[in-house]
Amino acid sequence: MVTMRRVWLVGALVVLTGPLITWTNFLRTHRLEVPASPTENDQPQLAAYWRFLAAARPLVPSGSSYTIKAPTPDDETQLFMLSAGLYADVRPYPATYVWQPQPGGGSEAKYVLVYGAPECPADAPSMHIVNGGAVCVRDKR
Amino acid sequence: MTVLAYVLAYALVPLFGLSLASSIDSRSARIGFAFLAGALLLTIEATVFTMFGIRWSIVGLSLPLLIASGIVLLRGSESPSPRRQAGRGRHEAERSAGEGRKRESPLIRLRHLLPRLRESEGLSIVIIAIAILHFLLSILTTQSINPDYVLFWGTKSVHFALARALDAGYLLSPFAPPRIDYPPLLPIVQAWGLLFSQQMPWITAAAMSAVWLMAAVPVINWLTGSIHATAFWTAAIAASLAFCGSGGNAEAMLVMYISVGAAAIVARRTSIAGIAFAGAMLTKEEALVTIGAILVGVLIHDRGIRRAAILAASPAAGASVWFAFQKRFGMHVGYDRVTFTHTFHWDNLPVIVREAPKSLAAGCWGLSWLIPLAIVLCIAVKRPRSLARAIPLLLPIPILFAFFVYLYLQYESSLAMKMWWILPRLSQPALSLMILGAAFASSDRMPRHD
Repeated sequence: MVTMRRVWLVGALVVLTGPLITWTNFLRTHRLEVPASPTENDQPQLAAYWRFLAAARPLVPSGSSYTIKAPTPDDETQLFMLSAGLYADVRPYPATYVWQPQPGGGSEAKYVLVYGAPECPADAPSMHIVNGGAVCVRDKR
Repeated sequence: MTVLAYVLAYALVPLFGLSLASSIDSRSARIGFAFLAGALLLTIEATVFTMFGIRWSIVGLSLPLLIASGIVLLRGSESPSPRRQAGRGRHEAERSAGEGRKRESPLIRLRHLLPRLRESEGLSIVIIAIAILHFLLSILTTQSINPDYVLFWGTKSVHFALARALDAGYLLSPFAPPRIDYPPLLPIVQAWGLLFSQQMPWITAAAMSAVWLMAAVPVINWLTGSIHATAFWTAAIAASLAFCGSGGNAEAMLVMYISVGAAAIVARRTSIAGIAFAGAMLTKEEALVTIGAILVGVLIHDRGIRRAAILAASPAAGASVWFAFQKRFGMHVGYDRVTFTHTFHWDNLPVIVREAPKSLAAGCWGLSWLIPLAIVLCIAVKRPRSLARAIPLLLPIPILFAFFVYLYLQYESSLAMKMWWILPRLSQPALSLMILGAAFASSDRMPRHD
C-alpha cells in the first residue's frame, strides 16, 4: 500500500509538470491583466469580434433592433452568433445567418454594427466610431 | 457586485441537493455530492416549471428544493441511517477525546491534530489544491475558455434568464443558436446564477467550471477511499480540462457526473451512481455512449441484469425530462449529436492511428493515461483477481475507443483537424475511468462501502 501511495503521488507530481510548463510559457509571453474578452488568450479572432460587440453595446438600447455588417460572410456569421449573448434584449436582423445571406440583408434593423472599416450604409448615415468598427443608426425605424 | 451575486447563486446549489446526499457519511463528500445533485434537481425543476408555464424566480425555484432538503435532514436527525450512525460513533469518540483535550493549551492541541494528517495525505491535499487552481486560473486568464461557451452555451443561459424560462421560443426561432438539441443542465445552472447577478459575468461564469471539479474531489476521495489516487485523478483531470479548453462548456460537468457515477458503481453505492448518471444525461448527449459502455461492464461484472437495469433506469428518467420538454414544445425529440452515414472510409484508419496519440496528450504528454495503464498492467500480472472489481470502469475504455474508431471511419473530410478538436474532449470520461479503475484495482480499502 505504501508503494502504491508513492506511485500515485509521484505520478500526480509528474502529471503536474504539464501545467507547470504551460504556465511557464504563458507567463513568459503574456502580461497578467484583466482580459478584455472571454477568449482573449485562446481565440484572438473571436476576441476581436467580442471587443467590438462589447464596445458597441452601450450605443444600442434594449428593445431596439440591430444587424451586423462585416467584410466576409464568415465574419458576419461568427459576429452574429457571438452577439446573441451580448444583445439578448435587442431584436436581431442578421444580414448573414450560418454563412447564408438573409432576405432583406438586415435592412429592417435600426442599428447597423459595422465591423472593420467604419463605413456606414447610405440609409444609416449617423455614425459612432467604436473599437473595431462603427455603430450606424437608421433614422426612420 | 455582479460577480459576487453570481458566485452566491452557486453557493446555494448544495443546499438544493442535500435531500439526495444525506446518506453520505463524510461531510465534505456530502457537500460535494449535494452540489452535483442540487444542479440536477434544479435542472429538472426549472424544466418542469417551463412545461407548466411557471416563470423562474429565485424564491420559486429555491423553495421546493430547500423544503425537500429540510424534510430529509429533519427525518435524518430523528432516525439516522446505520451508515451515518457508524460515522457518528466515530465522531462521538473523537469528540470525547477532544473534550479531554480542552484543558490543554492551543499549541498542544495543534500537536494532537497535526499527526492525524500523514505527510503523504498533506502532499495529496496540496496537489489537489494546485490542480484545481491550475484549471481555475487557466479559465480566469482566458487560456481555457471554450469558444462554444460564447457561441451557444452562455448565449442560451442569457436568453433563458431573460425569459425566466427554458425559452423554447428562442430555441425554435429562425435565428436559433447552434445545438438546440443539447440537454439543458448547464444553461439552466448558468441562468440560475444570472437570476442573481442580472448581468452575465462572462469570465466568472466560465470559471465556475472549476467548482464542479472541486465538488467532485471529496466524493471521489470518499468512494475510492484513497486520497493519493484522488490527488492523481484531480491532477490528471484538471490538466486535461484546462488543455481541452473546458471553461464555460459542459465538459467539466459531464466528466464529474460520469466519474462519480462510475466510482459509485464499484463502491456499491447504486443510488449515488443513478443520480450522477441522470445528471450526465441532462448535461451532454455523449453521456449516452459512455453510460451504455459502463453498463455493459456492470452486466459482465455482475453476471446478472438487476443492477444494470436499475442503473439504466435513472439516466433514462433524466433524459426523458428533456425529451418531454422537446415534445411539449414541438421540438425534434431526441439527441442529434452524432450522424452515422454507415459508409466507412477505410483510408481514415492510418490517420486515426497517427492522430490519436496527439489528441490523447491531456495536457501532460499522455502521462495521465500511461501511469494508470502501467498500474493496471502491473496488477494484471501480480494479482489479476483485484482487477475484477474494476471491470465496470475498465471494460468501457476499449468499447469507447472502438466507438470513436467506428465514428471516425465515417468522416468524409478534415479528419485530422476534427479529431484534434473533438477527441481530447470526447476521451476525457475514458481517461477518468482508466484512473479510477486503476485506483480501485490497486486499493485494499474497498469493503468500507459494502
